[in-house]
Amino acid sequence: MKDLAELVELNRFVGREFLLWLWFESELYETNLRPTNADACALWLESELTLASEAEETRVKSSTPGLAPEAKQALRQGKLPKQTKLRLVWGELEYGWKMNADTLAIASLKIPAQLKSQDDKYEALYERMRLTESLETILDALYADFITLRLDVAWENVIVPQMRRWARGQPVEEGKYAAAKAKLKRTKTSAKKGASLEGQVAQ
Amino acid sequence: MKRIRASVIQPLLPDDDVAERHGWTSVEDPFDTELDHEKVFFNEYLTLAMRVDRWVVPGPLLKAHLREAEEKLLEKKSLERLGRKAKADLKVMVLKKLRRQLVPVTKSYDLVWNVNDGVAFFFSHSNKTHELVQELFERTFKLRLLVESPGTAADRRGLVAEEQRAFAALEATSLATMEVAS
Repeated sequence: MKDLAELVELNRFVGREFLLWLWFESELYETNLRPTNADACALWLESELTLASEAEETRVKSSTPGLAPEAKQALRQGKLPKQTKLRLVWGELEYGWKMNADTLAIASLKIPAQLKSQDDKYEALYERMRLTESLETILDALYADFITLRLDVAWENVIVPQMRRWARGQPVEEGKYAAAKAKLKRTKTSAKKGASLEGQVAQ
Repeated sequence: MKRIRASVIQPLLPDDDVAERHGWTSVEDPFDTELDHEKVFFNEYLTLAMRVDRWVVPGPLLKAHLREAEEKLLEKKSLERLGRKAKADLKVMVLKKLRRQLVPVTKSYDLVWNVNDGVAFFFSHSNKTHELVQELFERTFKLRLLVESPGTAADRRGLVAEEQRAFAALEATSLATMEVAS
């Protein structure tokens, strides 16, 4: 996994699964997401969503494309989200961007910048970078949570079955899903504590 | 700064053998190549623009001028047709002549590198431009610029060896149901 070129290309489908999970969580928790290592935020899909499986694509254009029946139908046909527009609200800050799942690339990013380029150039750059990096921090935290779930057996045993229910329009067993997430969070925290205690002992 | 200055864009001239050239410029003005500390460093941020200059000679224009030059040459040398090498040489000559009447097409792409956390933001999605900036960045800073992807993002989480193996062995999830497949 340490060959860098190989690492870039490795399991690009995981990006589509990340977008799927964001979409699932956003609907399940009515847009309110609580990443482990970042503040709570609201996130939802907006205006367009492309789902794909090999060469077959479904494009959904709507103000809430995730809620469209054809989007769920595409999931039931084995397609996964490939690209969408996302909106994220974090405190008073609101971001909008297009996300390409295969590369995790951000395009057409709209940041809540107040300063214009004709203002102090240093201040304007700092503001833009601070806002961009804040978004990166939240996305990193969400991706970290997703990877923890994805690498655990709970993904196949609990999360995918719940996502299937959701894709079929059946009620998600929120308790089961939340319990699986909470258990993982506890395991991760105690593993970290163990590691830091070991570190202290070693010192 | 020395290394950055060594990799600023060089002018693309009509008689150059290359059709494209790229290099660093100021992020504020893509035609400013007199880079200094103040133009490049903003505390923890290193800001540069990669400018790409390219000769774009319209195909029909080239074709028309080439035909005209070919006819003149055939007449001058009393020949019926030109050989492959003569044709290629003539094309280069015509191209260079046409370039003198044009200006190169210029595009510039911003790069902002937070040197504290090692993350660089590059504002373009074209694969070709990514390759150019990777080459230029590596040549300038002797550091490899690694493109973000699901794999690199997972690796940045600091996965332990067991998790790395699990990640490498992942199989794609599908929510497909029998009901729809039938």
